[in-house]
Amino acid sequence: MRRERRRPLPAMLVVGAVLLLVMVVIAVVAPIVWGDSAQALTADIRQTGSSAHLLGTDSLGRDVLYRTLVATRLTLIMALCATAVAVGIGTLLGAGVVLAGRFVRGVGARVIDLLVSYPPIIVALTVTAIFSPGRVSVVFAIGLAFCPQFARLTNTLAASVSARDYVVVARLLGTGRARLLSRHVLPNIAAPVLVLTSVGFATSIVALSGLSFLGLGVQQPSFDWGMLLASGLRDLSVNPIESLGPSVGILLTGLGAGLLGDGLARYWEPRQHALPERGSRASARVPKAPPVAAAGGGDVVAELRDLTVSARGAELVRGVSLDIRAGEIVGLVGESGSGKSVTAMAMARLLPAALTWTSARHQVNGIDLSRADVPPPTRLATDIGVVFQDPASCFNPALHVGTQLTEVLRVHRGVPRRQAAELAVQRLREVRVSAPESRMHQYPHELSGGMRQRAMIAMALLSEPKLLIADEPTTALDVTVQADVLRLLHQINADHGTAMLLISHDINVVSALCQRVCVMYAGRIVEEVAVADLRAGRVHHPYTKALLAASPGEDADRATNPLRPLPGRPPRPGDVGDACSFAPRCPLAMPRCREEDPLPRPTPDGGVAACHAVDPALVEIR
Amino acid sequence: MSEPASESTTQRRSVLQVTGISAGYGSGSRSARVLHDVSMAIEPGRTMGVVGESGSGKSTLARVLVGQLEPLSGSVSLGGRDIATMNRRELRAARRQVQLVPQDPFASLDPRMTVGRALAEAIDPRSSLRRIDSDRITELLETVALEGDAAHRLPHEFSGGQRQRIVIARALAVQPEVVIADEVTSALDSSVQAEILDLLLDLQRQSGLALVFITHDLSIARYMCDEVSVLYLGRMIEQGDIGLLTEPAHPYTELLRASVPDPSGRMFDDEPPAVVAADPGDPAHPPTGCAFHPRCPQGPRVLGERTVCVDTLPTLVPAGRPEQVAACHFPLVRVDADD
Amino acid sequence: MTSITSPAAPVPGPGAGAPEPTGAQPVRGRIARLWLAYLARRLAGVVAVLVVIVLLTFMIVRWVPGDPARLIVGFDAGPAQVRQVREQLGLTQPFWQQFGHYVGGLFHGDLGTSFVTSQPVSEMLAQRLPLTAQLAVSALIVVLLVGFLLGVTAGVLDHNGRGRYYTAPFTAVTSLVGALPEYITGTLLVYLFALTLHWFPVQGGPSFTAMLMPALAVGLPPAAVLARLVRNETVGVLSQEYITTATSKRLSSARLLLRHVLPNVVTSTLTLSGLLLVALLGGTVITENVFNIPGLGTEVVQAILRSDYPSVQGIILVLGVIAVVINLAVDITLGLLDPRVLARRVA
Repeated sequence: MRRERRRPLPAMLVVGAVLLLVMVVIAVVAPIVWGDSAQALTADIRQTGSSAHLLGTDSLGRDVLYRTLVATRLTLIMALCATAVAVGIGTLLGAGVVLAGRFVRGVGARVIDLLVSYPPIIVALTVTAIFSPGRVSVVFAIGLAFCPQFARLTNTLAASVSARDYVVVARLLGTGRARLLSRHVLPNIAAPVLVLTSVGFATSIVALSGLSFLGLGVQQPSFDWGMLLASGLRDLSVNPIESLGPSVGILLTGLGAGLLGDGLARYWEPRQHALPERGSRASARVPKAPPVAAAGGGDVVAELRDLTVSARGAELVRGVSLDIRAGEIVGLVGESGSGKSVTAMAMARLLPAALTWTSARHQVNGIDLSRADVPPPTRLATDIGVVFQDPASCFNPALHVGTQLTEVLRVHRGVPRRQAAELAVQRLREVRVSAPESRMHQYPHELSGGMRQRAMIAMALLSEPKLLIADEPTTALDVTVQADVLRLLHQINADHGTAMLLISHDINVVSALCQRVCVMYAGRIVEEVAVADLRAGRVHHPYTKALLAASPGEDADRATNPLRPLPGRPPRPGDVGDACSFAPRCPLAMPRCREEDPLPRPTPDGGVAACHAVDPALVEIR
Repeated sequence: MSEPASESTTQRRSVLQVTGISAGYGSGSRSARVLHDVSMAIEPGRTMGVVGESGSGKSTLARVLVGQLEPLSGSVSLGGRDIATMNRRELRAARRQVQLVPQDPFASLDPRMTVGRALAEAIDPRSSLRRIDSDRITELLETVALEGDAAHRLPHEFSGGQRQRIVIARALAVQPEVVIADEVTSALDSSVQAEILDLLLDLQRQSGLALVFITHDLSIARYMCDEVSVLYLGRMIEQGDIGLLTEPAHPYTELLRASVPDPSGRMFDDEPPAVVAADPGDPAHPPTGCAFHPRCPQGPRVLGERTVCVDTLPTLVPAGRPEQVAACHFPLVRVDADD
Repeated sequence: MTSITSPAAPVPGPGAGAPEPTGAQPVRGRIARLWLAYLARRLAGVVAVLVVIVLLTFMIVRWVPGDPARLIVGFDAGPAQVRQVREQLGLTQPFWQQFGHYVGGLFHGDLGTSFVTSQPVSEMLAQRLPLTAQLAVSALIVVLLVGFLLGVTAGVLDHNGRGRYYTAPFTAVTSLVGALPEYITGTLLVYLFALTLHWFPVQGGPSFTAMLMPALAVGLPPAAVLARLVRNETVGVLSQEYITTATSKRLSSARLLLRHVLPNVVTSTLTLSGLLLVALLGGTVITENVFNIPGLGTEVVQAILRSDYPSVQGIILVLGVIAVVINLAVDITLGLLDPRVLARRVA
């Protein structure tokens, strides 16, 4: 049976477990060895620490160190019992409610919510008041006080797991309720519940000691850490070191349980497909490619040369060069992980701080942006407009739409509030947002998805930027709304001559709207092609061909002209060596492809393709 | 598509048929009915497409078809028998004949269960999963072009496309007659998407599986389906063979058709009427009359005399090609105008 | 619903389904309606909880195992004395009559009389509540000030990539302080600042110097917990897409932080800090005993130890009501700060 490599245990987990183990050993051993010494009365009353009594003596002359060690057993047992009560009742209540009928589920969740908002101390005080102070009543007091929190957490966990698709499918397969619980729900909530139990133990030990400290817990002649601490406080002016023993006991046990819990949580947290660690093989520097396509007509609005972006040593973008001319719509197409969004964000200087990047040249509308250590000038805000994929998350939920729309004008151009609002309303009307005046006073969540995306476009256009960067602007939208937004972008380009960089995974969207298309694969532009050639299928890189063959276009037919899937999967960032990154999936791959990364070279149709199979002879003929 | 026109839907043997079903969520004053009076029949070896945008009720329909949601009214028949007449054991056996492939392959596999155990559970949900029928599992994995050693691995070791294959293998484990594929490719990259579509078509060819293919993507529907049902705000507005997507009778289907991003860029040539810009309404409170009327380019917002669209709910009537029905007072193609 | 008035109305009309406002007035009207519905629901909940709290406090005496009167007078007392106390407690009446009597008393501010001091409980509460409230509010100020400042600073540093120097010590210190029980922090503070340095008095009281140490003892652990929470939320908010949008506007860091980050951090932490505030009550009860502050906390412990049930009932009732009021206040603030909360909770 193949198993995942064991992951190293987190340090927190080890430290926590060791601390708890030490405490357990003390709890077992101390009463046997020092049980009598802890009770022995001496004439040395309230002595400070000495070699005979390391932590001094209490008001009856008993050795504090021995008493602290011996008290470990009672304290731990009480905390364990209280945790068991809290976890037992809480889990039964929380998970049981989920399994019950719909009505009980709803009411149960609300009752648990109310209980959680009620302070545990009041519950604990009430229970001790009823059953009069003592070790049994205090265990139940703390257990009951904390069970609502457990109930709520297990309730939330169980409810979220039982709504997952795999539970739904298992139910459709005919798996019974009991098996659903034991096979799918419990295993998937066991880990977090165990983590909570550990944290709950830490809380119980602190709370129990607190009640004993107040005199409401353990009664004479038994003693626990809380009680010793109360006596320590009384003697604080005479023997300050007396408080040290029980304090350290409570702290170390609490800390141990807390660390164990956090460590377990970290150990069990779902595996992420993290980027490879630093030190993975980085690809060789790409030789500079001549900017072929940028040669003809129009001013260059944005220019990017040899952009490299890496995350923790893995290169996400490997030497991308891109030019956008005034009035031009350039498409950047590729699958997830190809680096297209990263390239676009780098173009707008919006990369997160965790990514490092370099470029040989990077300018937008004359502003030099190539130096990573120089923050971009504020003028960039008005020169570039950005539209993001998900209109639901790219508006600040706490601010009115109008406030966000007019912000750039007010802050950077000093346009008065009223005038900025008028301009914004005008723009909203242009992008066909209904009732634009009232939208200004609404919050983003009050607008529908399509409305929000149009408002986003209006915001990006408000400062009349030279370049609009649209990162998957229609992916989150319905087809009819997508068509609407695409028409809008087309119209803006036609009316205002705004240059655009459109990022999309959908080759049909890109070829509908753009004039020039760049295809990205594994962090590199593998082909650059005029849209007329793309539409006519005059593409040269095998990846572009495969992408076209796999997308259902108008002429696709499952009988006569079936889709042709592309086998394999793209390499993970950092896994690319000196070879062509597409070679493992390429039907035309030859030995040379596995040794040498192809240079971008001109294609017979005037585009650029990075492929050894593109025949250079044909270029010569042209 | 080559079915003789004389044969009517009711005479064919349908494995899964729903008639006049309505469904919704919540109870009491806060209930919302999101599916109204929907009927369809699914036949062996054929694919029924269900097309619509968000809020159209297509996911609710999927839940009703697999038996996850009880319809509020209407009837469901499995293998020609109304499920209301079945006892509990018969019903459970009949339900297993309809399997679901959900949208998100990352949520539909238990992260703590090996692929082998997941398949074993599907083969016999009442077994203990201790002894696994490895031959059958290897066979299932081979059907979806995965290697046998996949059985011992956990879902997180697979890519999205591979996971979706595993989910399909699990659905096939019960040898179902119907598979409901709910937006199965929308979480996948386009090169992987073709692979999953191909797999489903292959399986159908081999075993005569009936498919219900739910999608928002018209070009995929066109590629995959034999028949198609178009939903808008919880109502069936057009139904018929797949050709209706190129020659729609309902203005909404026509709007959908015109909205597919067309690589040629022709979609920008003629500006659509402004009313189309409005967003669909709230499925829980659809507009009166024809739910589409506020957005309809042929509707009352443009042609004011068409008040009937606001007042009267249109019923499904024959329109256009044989067996095509559309719920529109002013269909784009009429039966009598067809020849 | 929409009606057609003109033959050609090519105005891009809103979807006729959802009621969509056409001017500022309806927006305000709708928000007012939402508030009304929200408050009505919340108040109904509050009334229900209050009824339960009153019932439970009333039940304390009924649930005491054995005869509460015997517990009060002690085992040496004669049967006549026990009977007298039973009558005084109202234990001779039928259950509902007793409860009605109790509730009736509550409405007149009558919470009974202490068995020990013979002082009316309401008088005792009036004397002791102000000190407890002062301690709780001072602690609250410590929690909010320290928690938010520290948390936001750590979050911003972390996001700017400078976190690797601060994150580990920050986590270590906040975990440690957050796990410190009030009674240990209190003892430590007394030893350091009262007994050794003589800066502050041992005894807590209403003056600033006498209140500072107790407030720190109560406030620091929850402040550390809040700081961690705020840090995580800040990092979370900073990685949201709308912050990328705001970054694309090239605003000054101050504006970005104050306008775009903080409002969202406050709303997302407020729900959890509500629980922290309620937890402050527990810390207050314990800390009063460390610093010997004559508030509700010291009294309730004495009352429990002396089986002084009327006092116990009175204090538990007051603490419960305070918790309910805090929760209500947090919810209303949340509704004011985040308009989505209203819509979500009413729906």
